[in-house]
Amino acid sequence: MKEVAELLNRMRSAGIITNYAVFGAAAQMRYTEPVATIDADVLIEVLDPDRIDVLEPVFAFCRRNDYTISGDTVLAGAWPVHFMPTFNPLTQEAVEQAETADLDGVPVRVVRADHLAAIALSVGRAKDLLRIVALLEAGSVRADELRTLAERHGLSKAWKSFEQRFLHA
Amino acid sequence: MRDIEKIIERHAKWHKSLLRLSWAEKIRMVESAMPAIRALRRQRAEAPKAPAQSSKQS
Repeated sequence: MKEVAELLNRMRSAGIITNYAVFGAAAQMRYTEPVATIDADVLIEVLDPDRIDVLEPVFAFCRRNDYTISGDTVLAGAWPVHFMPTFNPLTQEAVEQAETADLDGVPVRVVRADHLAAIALSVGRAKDLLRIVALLEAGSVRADELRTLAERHGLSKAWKSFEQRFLHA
Repeated sequence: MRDIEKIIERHAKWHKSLLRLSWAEKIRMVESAMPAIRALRRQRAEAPKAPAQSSKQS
């Protein structure tokens, strides 16, 4: 993961992306027990979000710097990295307000636990809902905080459904 | 019965100890498990799918 952090910081310094934050399972581990995963998901802010091949500058940078590209992922150390441009106000806010963690001396931006849970709520697959349960159980996020965040991002219905299934069952 | 309680207690302690690890330590733990996770996923993908079971009992 240190290699992932180095790649992301290099891309930001080179102006290929304006900002980034690790999310998904790799980010979840900052707040819960370790979870089995084999790839790293990264939200990125790009310079030109309207271009059709929005990730091409990212891949071009990686090709120039001898990273292996496989399908839609870039291999950094042991981690295949999925880049996902921010796509709504929630993901934009998650990147803007991400925290800087230390990974063996390398700084890396990671989404906050509440944003991670709200993104999981918006995606809504079984594994995403279990991620929210794990974050709540670990005490990394409080249900009332998450409800407020969900309401602010138009996820009230999803939150109510989650609450009924997992918290009031 | 006491043995089972001990196992559950030990399991809960182990989970709590995992929570106390730093993020870097957890990441290293997962990195070292990656070959096994990949092998398991490959195995699962290659395994023949079991036929869907009918909900009706004959």
